Order: sequence, then structure tokens, then C-alpha cells
Amino acid sequence: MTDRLLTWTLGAATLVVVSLIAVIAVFLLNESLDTLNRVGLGRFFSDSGWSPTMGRFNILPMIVASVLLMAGAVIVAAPLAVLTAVFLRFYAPSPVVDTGRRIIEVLAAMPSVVYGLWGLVVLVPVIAAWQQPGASLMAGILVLSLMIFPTITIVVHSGLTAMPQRYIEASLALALNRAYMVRRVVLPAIRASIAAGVTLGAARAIGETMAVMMVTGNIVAVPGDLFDPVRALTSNIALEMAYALGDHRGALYISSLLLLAVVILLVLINEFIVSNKCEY
Amino acid sequence: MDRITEAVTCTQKQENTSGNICLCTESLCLSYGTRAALENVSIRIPSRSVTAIIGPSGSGKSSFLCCLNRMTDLSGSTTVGGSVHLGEHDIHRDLGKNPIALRRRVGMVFQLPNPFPFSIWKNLALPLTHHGVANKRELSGIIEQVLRRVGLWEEVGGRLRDSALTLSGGQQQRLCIARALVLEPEVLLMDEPCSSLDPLSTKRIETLIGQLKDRYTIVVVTHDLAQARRVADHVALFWNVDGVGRLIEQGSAARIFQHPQHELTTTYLEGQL
Amino acid sequence: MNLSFRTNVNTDSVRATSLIGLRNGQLSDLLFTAAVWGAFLTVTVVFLWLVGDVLIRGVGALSWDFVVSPVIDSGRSGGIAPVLVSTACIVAVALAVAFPLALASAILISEFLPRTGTVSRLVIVSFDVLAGMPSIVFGLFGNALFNQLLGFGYSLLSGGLTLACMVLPFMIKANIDGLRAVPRSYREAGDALAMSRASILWHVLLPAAIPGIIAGVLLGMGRALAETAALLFTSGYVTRMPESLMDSGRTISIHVYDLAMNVAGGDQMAYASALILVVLLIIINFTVVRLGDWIQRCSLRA
Repeated sequence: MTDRLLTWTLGAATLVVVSLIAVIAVFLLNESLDTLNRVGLGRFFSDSGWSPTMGRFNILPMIVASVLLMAGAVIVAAPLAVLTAVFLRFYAPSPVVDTGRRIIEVLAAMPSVVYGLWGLVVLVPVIAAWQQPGASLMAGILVLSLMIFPTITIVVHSGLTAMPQRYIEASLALALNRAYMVRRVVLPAIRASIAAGVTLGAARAIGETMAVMMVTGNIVAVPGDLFDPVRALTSNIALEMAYALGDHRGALYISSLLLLAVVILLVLINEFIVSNKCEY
Repeated sequence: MDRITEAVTCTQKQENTSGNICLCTESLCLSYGTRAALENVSIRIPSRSVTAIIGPSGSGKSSFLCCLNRMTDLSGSTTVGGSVHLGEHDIHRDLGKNPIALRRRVGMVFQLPNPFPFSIWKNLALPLTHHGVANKRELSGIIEQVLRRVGLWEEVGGRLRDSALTLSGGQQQRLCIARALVLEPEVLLMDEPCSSLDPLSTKRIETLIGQLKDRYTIVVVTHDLAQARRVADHVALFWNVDGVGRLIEQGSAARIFQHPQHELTTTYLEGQL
Repeated sequence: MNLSFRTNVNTDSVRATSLIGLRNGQLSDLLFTAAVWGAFLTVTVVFLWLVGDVLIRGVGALSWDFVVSPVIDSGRSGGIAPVLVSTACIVAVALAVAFPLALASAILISEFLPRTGTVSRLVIVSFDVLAGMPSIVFGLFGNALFNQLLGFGYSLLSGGLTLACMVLPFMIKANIDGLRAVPRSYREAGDALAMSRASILWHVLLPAAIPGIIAGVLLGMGRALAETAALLFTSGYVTRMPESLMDSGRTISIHVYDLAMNVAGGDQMAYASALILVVLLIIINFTVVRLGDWIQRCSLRA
């Protein structure tokens, strides 16, 4: 009897949690639907610009900015993260391993607003001294890559730890040197972990709001080069939501749906990679 | 120079001097941290023959094997005393800080088959490309040879691009032997190579060992006395004396099995543990 | 079986080319070693730069007065007392709502659903999506549901409920890890004694899983403290001392953001607040990691 009651309670709670994702999607859709009907999806990509109060809804420059920020951050962070994970697993002297782990943990725990603060006060002036105006795509990429670096490192490192010792023994017995072993045996063997780390990092990068908003200058335009200011899709929502009404508000909800779709896609890819990982 | 004639002359030379010594150790000691694992092992391993290391578990057989190609370097806390000679080189002094040159000459096969999670081809090509064979035709030539030599060519020759993990346990172990052979080592160390295999695969590996000894010096650790009788030319018995592995007796297989001199050997061979 | 070498293939080349190969190998080994050390040193330098910056600039404005005084002149002077109170309220609401849901779901998943079944995989995927969802999207959802539909307006309650949704997947995962680390034998012993599942759970599993459960709560707390974007449009950013959960209020994270972006001359105070935030988060995170290590050791021993 108590067991039945228990199962039902647990089931109800889990149902609430599981349906949350659907509830969220429904709410976002509900807020977007009117605007979507009135304005039509096409105009979000073909209007002459983004001035929603004047009825122009082109979000393409912000999509481009978000994608560039994400891609740039992954390109900078992924190699750094893989090398660092390899360092901690195969190269670091043991006292350094502990220090290294702590550094990664602290970086992972750091709130995005602190990354943003550091980017705004320290990094942007450094970039500005080199190339005006400082607040730019470049600043966004650097701050984002610093933010997703610990995520990727942790996933890759746990892949390295999970890799069976017998591959390392086999490599050594075949007289492979350490670099060759890492590049040709270890990294290919954990490629699923690397891919999983990268998709997780990418999801975090494209969803990040605060740090990006604080360092990218927030001008709606397709950037000509790395040093142009940009506005990410997330920043746009954060900046305009406070005063958005009507179709403007709807447009912001539509961009949030877009973000949600991208993240769901990345998570599913990640899931696919992890579940198809060979079990050694 | 033609390899076959070279091999033949070598064999003749060996017969003339009645058993060249390929590997020998002098008062070899090994400890993990403060715990001693091996003490005072002085062994002589004749070239181009099969030497079986036998003994109960915990007698330091596998540890001994790891000293021979310096796999002991893997964990930082091991200390090795005494000396190991490969030919006329001291493997610690003459072959220097870098064990890679040594491991090229001393290959190893492990208890559990450990192919890399890649294709059969890549498993075999990897050590070759690392050691400088880039030519694709040359690669496939060597790969076919070693696969033929371990009797795998007929079974997998047509599907070299398949993952090595799709092979059966016995095939995986023969692939690992083939992988150790691509570098043309002088010595092949085998750590209980059949302990995870079924009787049929075991028989194949034993036949293979018999065929390979014409070209390589083989040291095989086994806990299976019958196997030692079947494959070994020379036998060395290890024993755990007060928690430390020691070499009790060594000699030709015929002599050890028929006229053991040490009391422990007699006991062990009679199975009265 | 053909054991002889075929003469058209020159295997001596393996040994011959090895001289060159080895030399190349050593060079690439050296380069790769330099690369991994370089990566780690780069990370260390940037880390020290970041943490040192927050520490050095933050510590100057930090004092007891700063902690207990009200916010004056948009934060340029005074302290952060109301901000700390609002933060505590929001985090408390979030944990109070999320904790029972998270624990219940974790128990169902780890104890009642087959580990590799389709259902539990679907559930886990939905948590992963929830965990990966951008916080600003949670903010929009919270605004639509709590502020508008339920009529809570900009309030600590709306903010706390939004954060509860956000931290759920992280707390569930930590709880599942904690429960799964409890040795199987405990459950079997309970079954053998003919205990009901409810009493096995209550008397055996939950006490044994306490470290994991604490880790889950701390993890949720850390997430909630660090969050900014989800709160901008749910809790709002009023600086007054809140009088009830229906009042609007800002957390430390929002305070840092507002001072840095919208208040000229607010950098110093932004850094001081950021320092408090970072210290809190580091303490929480280290506790979580040590608890995690401990859980792992326990499960390995079992």
C-alpha cells in the first residue's frame, strides 16, 4: 500500500519535471504565435534591418553573430581544452595535477557575469589599444572560449580517465613515444568524448547572455572583421525585453525559440555520440 | 641482404656455439614503493627458443617479464636493482633513459588481448608509420606477411578495414602477436597469452609459438604446466618466498620435467601445493 | 602456412628507416610536450589574471559596512545588504521548490526505472535539454508564466520559481549519482528482510545517499547564485530591502552586472560584489567536488 502511494508520488513529481520542457516550449510558442502569424517567418530573414518598433524584424545579423561567436569560441577553446586534459592525464607532475584540477574547477564555477566584468574592464581595453573599438566579436570569442574551456576540459579528461590502461601498455610495448601514442592512439580512441565536450561547450556558448552582452558592443550588424562590434541573439533579448511590446515582444520570443531549437539539436547530437560510444 | 639466408646463418652459428644467450639478468631486484616483488633473479634466456616462466600466482612471473622491456617504468614508484643484458647491452645503462629503443627490440603480448579500438589495418600500421615506414605498398606488404605468419591472413585478409574489436578473443590475441611482430623484434615476451582464451584458440597460439621460435626468442609466462610442457625448450620456476618472488630453478625443459633438482620444483610439478 | 618472408618486400627498411624515424619522432615528441605545457601555462596565466583582477580590485572596497549597509546612489556608495537578502530569498525559494521534485525524480529514475530502458533514456535526454537551455530562455518563460499568467509580477517569487526550473536537472543528476553510489548489497539485504520498498528507501537508501543529496543541494545553490540572465525579467532589479516574496529584488549577480554596465563609476563596487560572489561559489564548488570524490571512493570500496 505505502509502496503504491510512493510510486505514484514519485511518478507525479517526475512527470512534472519531464513535462517542464514541453511546458516551456508551449509558453514560448504561445507568446510567438500571434507575431508569427502577423509578420510571417520570412520577414525575420528578409526585412531591411532590425528596428522592431518601426516594423522591421531582420534577425539575420544577430544569428550570424551568435554563430560566429559560438564557432570562434569552440575553435579557440577546443584545442586548448584537449591539450590541457592530455597534460593533466599524461604529462603533469603529480603536484601540478591537483593544482590543475582546482584551476579547472574554479573556472567552471565562475559565474558568467564575472567573466563579463573581467572582459569589460580588462580585456576590452587591451583589445581597444590594439584595434578600436575594443568591444567586439573578438572580445566575445575570447571571453566565451574561456567560459567553455573548463566544460570541454572536464568532459575530455573524464574520457581520458575512463580509457583502459591496456591501450597505454600496448602503445608502450610497441615502442611508440608519448606524443605519438597520444596523437594516434589516445585521442582517436576518445574521439567520442571530445565530440561530446565540444557539443556541450557549443551549447553553452550559443546560450550565453551576460558575458557576451558585456563585451561585444551590441551593435546590430553583420561584422566585417573580428574587431567589429556585434550583437548576439541572446544579448538582443536581454537588452530589449524590458520595453518590448506587441510584435517586438513576439519577435524576441521567436528568437528564443530559435535558440531552444539549436540547443535541443546540440544536446541530441551529444546524446547520439555518447550512446554510440564504443564500450572499449 | 636476404633475410632467409641471414636467418639460416644465424641458426647455424647458434648451433655451433650450442645456445647463444639472448637475455640474461644478474641479481635482478624489483620493488613497488617499499614492497619488494622480486629478489636476486639471475636467469639466462637462450636465443631462438621458447623459455617458459612457471610458478604459482604471486611469485613475480609477470613482474619479471615487465623488467625485461622496462614496462616497469610505467608506474613511478618502482625501483629496479641488478642488471638486465640484451645481447651485450645493459638495458638500463647502455640503452639509456629512453626505453623506446629497447621496446623496439623486445616486443610484448599481454594476458588480455589489447587491440586498439581501430581497424585491423590501423592496428598493424600504427607502429610501422611511427617508426618511419610511410610507403603504402611497403606497409601492406609487411602487414600481409605478419598476418600470414600468425595465421590470420586467411581469416581476415579480406576485411582489414573492419574494427579489430569485431574479432573473436583468439583472433584478437593473434592480431596482438602480429602487431608485436611488425617491428621485427628480437625477443617476444608473452604474459599468459592464452589465459583468457578457449582451448581451440589456445592450441592455435601454442602452435604459433612453436613456429615463431625459429625467428624470435620467446619468453612466455604461464600458470599452465601442461602448456609449458607442450611449448617450452627451457623452463624457469619462480616461487613466492616470504612475500618476495625468487627464481628457484632453471634449465632445459626435458631436465626440469624429468629430473627436477629443487624440492619446490618437485612439489610444484606433482601438483602438491 | 607460409612462414618465410617474401623477398620482394624489404623488411630491413623497417630497421633502416628507423634511425631517421626515431629522430623525427623525438622532435615531434618535443614539440607536442611543448604544446601541452604551453596550453596549461596559458590557462594558468589567464586564470591568475582573472582571479587576481577580481581579488585585487574587489578587496579594496570590501568591509563589514559594505555587507550590512543599504544600496546608496545606485550602488556607487553604501553596501549590498538588501541585495544579499534578496539573493537569499530567491535561492531559498528555488531550492525549496526544486529539492523535493529533484529528489523524487532521482529516486524514481535510479530505484524504480530500469537503467537502460527507453523511458529512463527519454527522461535523461529531457533533463539534458533542460540543463543545456540558455538561461535567457528560462527568463522569457518565467516572465510569461510567473510574472504575467500567474500574476506574480516582478518579484522574488517569480525569480525563485524560474531558477527552480533551471537548477532542477543539475540537482537531479547529483541525486541520482548519490543514490547509484549506494551499494547494491544494501538493497538486496533490505529485500531479503522483506522490507517494503518505501521503508528500504527511507531507512537504508536515503541515509546512505546523504552526501550525494547534499552535493545536489549545493550544486543547485551554486547555479542559482551564479545566474543573472534568467532573473532580469522575473525578479527585476530593485535595490530596496524586500519586505515580502512579492517584492522585486536583485541578486548579487544582477548587482554586479548593473554596476558594471549601467552605472558610471560603479566598477569598484561591482568588483567588491563580484569578489563576494566568487568566494561563495568557490566554497560551494569545492565542497561539491570533495563530496563527489568521497562518494566515488565509497562506491569503489563497496
